[in-house]
Amino acid sequence: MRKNHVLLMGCTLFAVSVVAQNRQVTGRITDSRTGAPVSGATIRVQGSNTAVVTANDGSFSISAGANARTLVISSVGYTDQQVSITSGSMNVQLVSSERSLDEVVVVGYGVKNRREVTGSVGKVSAADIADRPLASIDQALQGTVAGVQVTQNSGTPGGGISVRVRGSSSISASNQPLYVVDGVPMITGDFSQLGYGGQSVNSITDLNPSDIESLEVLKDASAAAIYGSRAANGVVLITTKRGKAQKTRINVNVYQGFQNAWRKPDYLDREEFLTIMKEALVNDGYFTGSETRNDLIDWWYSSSTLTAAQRGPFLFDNSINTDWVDEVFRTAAIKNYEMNVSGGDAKTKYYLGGGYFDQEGIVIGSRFRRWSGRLNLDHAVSEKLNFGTSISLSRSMNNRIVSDNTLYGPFANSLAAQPLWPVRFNGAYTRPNFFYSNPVAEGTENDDLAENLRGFGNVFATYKITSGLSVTGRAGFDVYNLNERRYTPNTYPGNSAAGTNGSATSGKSINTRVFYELTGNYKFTAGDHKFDILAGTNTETNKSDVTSVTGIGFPGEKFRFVTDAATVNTGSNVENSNAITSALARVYYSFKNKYLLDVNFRADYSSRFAPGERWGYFPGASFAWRIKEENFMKNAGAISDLKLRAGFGLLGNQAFGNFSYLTAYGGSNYNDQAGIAPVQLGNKDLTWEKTEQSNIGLDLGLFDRITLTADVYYKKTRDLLFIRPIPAQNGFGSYASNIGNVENRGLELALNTVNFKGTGGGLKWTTDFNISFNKNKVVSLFEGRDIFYGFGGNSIVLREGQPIGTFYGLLFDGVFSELKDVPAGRQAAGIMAGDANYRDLNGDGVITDDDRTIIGNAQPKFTGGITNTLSWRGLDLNVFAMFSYGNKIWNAAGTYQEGLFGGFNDDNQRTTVLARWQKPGDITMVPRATTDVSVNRNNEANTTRFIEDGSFLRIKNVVLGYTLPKSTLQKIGVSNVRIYAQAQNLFTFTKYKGFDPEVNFAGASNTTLGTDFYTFPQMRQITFGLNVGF
Amino acid sequence: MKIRNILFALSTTLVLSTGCKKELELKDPQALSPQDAFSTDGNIKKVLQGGYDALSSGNLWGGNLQMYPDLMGSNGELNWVGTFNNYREVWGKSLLTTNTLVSGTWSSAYNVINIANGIIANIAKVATADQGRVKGEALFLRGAMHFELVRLYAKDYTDGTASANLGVPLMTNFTASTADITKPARNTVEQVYTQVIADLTEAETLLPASNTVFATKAAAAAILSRVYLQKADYAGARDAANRTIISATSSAGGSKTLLTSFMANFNQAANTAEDIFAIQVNDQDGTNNMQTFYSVDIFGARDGDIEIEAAHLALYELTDGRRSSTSNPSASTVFNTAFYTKYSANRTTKFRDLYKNVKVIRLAEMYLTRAEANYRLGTTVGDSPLNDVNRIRARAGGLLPLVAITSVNEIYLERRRELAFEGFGLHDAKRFKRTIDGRPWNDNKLVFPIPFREINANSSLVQNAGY
Repeated sequence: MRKNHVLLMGCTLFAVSVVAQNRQVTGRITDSRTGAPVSGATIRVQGSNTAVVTANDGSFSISAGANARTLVISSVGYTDQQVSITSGSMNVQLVSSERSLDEVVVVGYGVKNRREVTGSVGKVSAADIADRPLASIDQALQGTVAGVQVTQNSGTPGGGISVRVRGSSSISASNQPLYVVDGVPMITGDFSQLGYGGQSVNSITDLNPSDIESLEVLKDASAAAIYGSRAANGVVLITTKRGKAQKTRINVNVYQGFQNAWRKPDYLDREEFLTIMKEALVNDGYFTGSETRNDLIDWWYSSSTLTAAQRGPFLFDNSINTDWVDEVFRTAAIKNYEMNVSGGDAKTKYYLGGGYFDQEGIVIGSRFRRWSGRLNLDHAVSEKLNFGTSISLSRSMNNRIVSDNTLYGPFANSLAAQPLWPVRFNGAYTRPNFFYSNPVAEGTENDDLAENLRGFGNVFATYKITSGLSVTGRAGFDVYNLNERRYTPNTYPGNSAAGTNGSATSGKSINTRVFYELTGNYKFTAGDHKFDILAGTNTETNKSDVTSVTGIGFPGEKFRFVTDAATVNTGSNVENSNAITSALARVYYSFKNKYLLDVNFRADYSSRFAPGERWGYFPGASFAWRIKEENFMKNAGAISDLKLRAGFGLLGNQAFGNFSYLTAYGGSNYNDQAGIAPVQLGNKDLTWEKTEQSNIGLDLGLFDRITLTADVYYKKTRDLLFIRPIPAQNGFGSYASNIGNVENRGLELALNTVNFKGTGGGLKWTTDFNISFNKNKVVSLFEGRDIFYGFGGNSIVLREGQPIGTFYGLLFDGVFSELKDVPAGRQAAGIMAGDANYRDLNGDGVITDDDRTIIGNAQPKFTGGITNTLSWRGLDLNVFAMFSYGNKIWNAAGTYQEGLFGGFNDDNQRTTVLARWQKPGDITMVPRATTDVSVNRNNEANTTRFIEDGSFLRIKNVVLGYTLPKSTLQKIGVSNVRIYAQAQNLFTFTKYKGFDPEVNFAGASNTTLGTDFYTFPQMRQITFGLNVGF
Repeated sequence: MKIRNILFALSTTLVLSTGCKKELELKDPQALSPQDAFSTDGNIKKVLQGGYDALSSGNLWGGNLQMYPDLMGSNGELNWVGTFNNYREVWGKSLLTTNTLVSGTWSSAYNVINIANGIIANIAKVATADQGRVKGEALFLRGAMHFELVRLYAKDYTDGTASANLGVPLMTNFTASTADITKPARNTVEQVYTQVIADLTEAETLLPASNTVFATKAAAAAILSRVYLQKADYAGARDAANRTIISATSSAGGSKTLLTSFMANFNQAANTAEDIFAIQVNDQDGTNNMQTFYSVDIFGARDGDIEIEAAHLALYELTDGRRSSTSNPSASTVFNTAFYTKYSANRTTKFRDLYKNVKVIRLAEMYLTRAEANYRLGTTVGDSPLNDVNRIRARAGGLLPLVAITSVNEIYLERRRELAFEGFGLHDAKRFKRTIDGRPWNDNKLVFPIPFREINANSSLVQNAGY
């Protein structure tokens, strides 16, 4: 009998050797979805102590007693499985525990199974993002977690993005969540000292996304309260990969690809540009209409600001028709190489990872590169004592370009540059618009480099005092060094260093965080009562040291560093610090696994407030009822899980100035002599912003194939940080105080379905869908007064009852077709046929600023995403789409790009102006061409003419992969090979007519939202990748 | 046992947390408390230095206070072509109450006044020997700023009844903390002038004749002469101007004198022998908004936001050295004419170069003020109006002396030529009751509005007519 087995399997590697009394069981463990081998899985013979671990190719061989019937197979990330021992090689497919009740969820200071979770926690795991070319891990939250709205803002490589967990809760302090990496809060934000328009540097990009095991988002107050005063905007817990007790695994992942603009709106060509220019002059009476093309050019450009030499002969050359956008756009490369090695034994485990990521921007002059390394070690000294580290070192180089609201950006200037100019003439750059410099020169001649070096990590030790009681000490650090350098040569007309003969700035910013923490954890079970108690304390100190020096007057453009400057004219060095210390506690209680109660408490002491206001107390509690466990549900077979959750908590936000509470006098020099002058008026009563949040949620599982998670929440933030205005007669205009309320209420749904189970390598198809509805509202403001801000200073309003990001301006009702259509009052004021017809809201017969009103808002009605994953044999396909509905975009640049030469502004125009009003009877939404701006307000920016629907559905990511069959792999001696093709932003469906609907000229601003003003657009990326495991 | 372990863990954490307290007592390394700032003689003198720095703000004498009167009073002589709407509104006399210049100048001026009040409140801590000078400088700052505010943000002194017209709030108390915040109403124009005269008169008494680049006896008297002139108190103006001339030209006052060359006054890093007061700017520090907006990019400015129109050039006699012009210079062209053409428009050379001091008071103004006041009063205090005016004409170059002055308008014309773009346009036009771009001299739109944010923050403020 046994002999037969050997014969049967003679052709396989998994020969069974025969041991007296025992038999040898062999087989292979694979992933049910991908078919990839699962290494490091533990195989145990039920009822014995015998256990082995699978090899890299997933194979195992275990000696089982003659009476053994069952193997128990377990592996992190998979649901445990029991299989009957069969004869022959056993092929076992493990089912990923993701999205199942066994899924491990990291919560603050611990892990739980999904079934034990009482709060609202969203998760993204490594598998979800494996093949996506993410520069930054926060991008992984986009469209994947219900209740988290991620806005990319621009296509700037390495640029900052906006992450809003359940809406915006603050108007002056930060709205970004707290990022905690392996237990240590990460330094986030933009530390750049140089202005590049609205887009910031994102310090989260220093984490290599492929080192990440999982991301958990603590959304509701009960889950996040353990992070207290900094959790009001949600908490993102980032867990990095660690080694497993298994043979060394080497994994190599390489992808490479290209990127280009997915859309390019049309701009006028030479012919169209000159035609409309002439039309404006005819409309205004400067021309009769009989003038020639050369008359026109001569009139326009000689009356402006150019010398004959600057004007050159080319302006009259009809063959010149430069498409400036094409001149600054390019097909840009993206590549990523990384390798990791992991493994270990029962005592020591390690994960060692290294990577290089290189992304060029689609606009010339921009590029982001990152080199990263990580070492995560775990070592068990004894049964009781464990040590570990989690350490990463990274360096990045970011070639930046100025964009958004600027006169010196390659992309921004390319939209304004006129088609009449060549890029260069006789080797010298032209100046294709008097107000702006040459776009190609801006993207080519300047040095704009931001380099950083970052060390981030922690060491920890856990000591088990008894089986249930342990103490963990952790010390962490985050050292973020940002070195920036800018050089602007005086080698092209209109550059920002004209007059200073070259300008160079060097900036250094060293930010250091030191963190230490001690926690005690006690778990015990008494009958049906299960307790998990945590108490701890931690302290975090932050220091920043910021230096900058500027020099002007360079001997030539070959000299680009401050040392060669004739004059070193600006220098500064500032040190700043803050600290926070906390005590925290949590009691988790479960009765019969049916009733779960989780009570959190955190007390924070922050240096940012006056003595007396420093302590803040942040409690949270949540309760869950696992209805499925009740007897009456036992027979409801269709329902695999049913859980009700409810929670409430109080959170804080202290993301504002370090010393806002102090009245301060600072250095103020005059005539090269030291002086002292007032800086700010302090407020001893300044305190935390406080967010109360309640959450009710439902988890429902059906047929083990469908899970539905629904949450409703109400979030109210009070004591908003507000720079309260006071009469400036007092010598100060304002001081920091706590005034105002904002609320967010919403509904989140996440539905995950297994459409085809894919047993036996057949078709497997899963769908993950999520949708979030958030309603944001400003409840109260200082003295109930509107606050105007945004691009231009008065385009967005904070008003009680309205959401943050409410646009303000005139209502545009088209264009007066004929003079008789113009109301008498406006005719008297000088409005003509072809002028804009704004709504006279106050009925006074004329259009004034008093006719302005709310004209839209940037908040979407709902956002979400849908991911379909299909696999069939070795093939896999993942399609991820995300959407946003109901948000408006304000195309503020319209005032220039569709301004029809108003005010003699001769920026190039979008082709939308071809539909302009030209003669009485024309019915159109585009006013007439005229240089006259004295009364008509035709091209005013803050009007509904430039408010567009920003809704979109975007096929964000498509991955098609193929895993080579095992038989092939054996021949080449590797355990796993996968090749894939990936496309990002493959299709976008939107009514928005600009470059990209995911846009904000103010970058990751709190309150200035949805505004498009010469913003670097997003790109389409196509990459091809190879993943090899040894 | 278990309970004891928990207690052990908790007590360890508590010990740890109390051990950390010291690290949480952080100080702002870049800041002093107001108590420290006003604690010693040395510190108070540094606060005074900070007061001058505040005064040198672009919103104040760093340029804007000199630009507003010529932009608003342009009367076709200059043209704002720049892209900045806030300046365009000043030039177009179409100010919105939300204009950032309107609020910026208001708050910057009161910042200087508050610093001055802090110094005056703590004057006892200053070394006795220096108390007079330090207090005199503080009073100079406070008086000058109240005066600049009242003549911009309120009706002209001579327009209606000064004791009934609203001026600006007079601030004479120091705001040290939020407890000191007040919401003052506007004082009358009369009250403001009275306080300004009191402050400047006392300052003139206390200040030394010479004080490097800081306020002197002559500087206080010079501002005082402007105050009297604006309220049409010609005797006061004449005497203050005369005192300025006497003090400034004395050897104790640094033997100030009219420079031989008119253009030698301008584009100077250091004060000249003609400067009675100027804001110091160098490549390390300071703002010169005059340069930023009047000059052009090849000299490190913006793109030439202010163009000088033919109507201005028509004021000069053709041979006047102050009318000389260079055509289309490049960055390397050496020239020292009063005007140049660049980008198809006339530009003034007065503020051509980067990092040069900003003119506030030149001795030439004092001769013209003395001449005008003497002429109006029929007196010859100091010297005859004819001599004073001819002094200026002789220095201008290319001009014959006047043989007689037949009208005060001749002196006004000389003032417009000599002091062009130096901040006199609107104020002098109001004194001479001239029409400005079609608006009568006392038109509501020739007065700045009270800033929107101030009306919001202080309900006791009343907005100006016309806004």
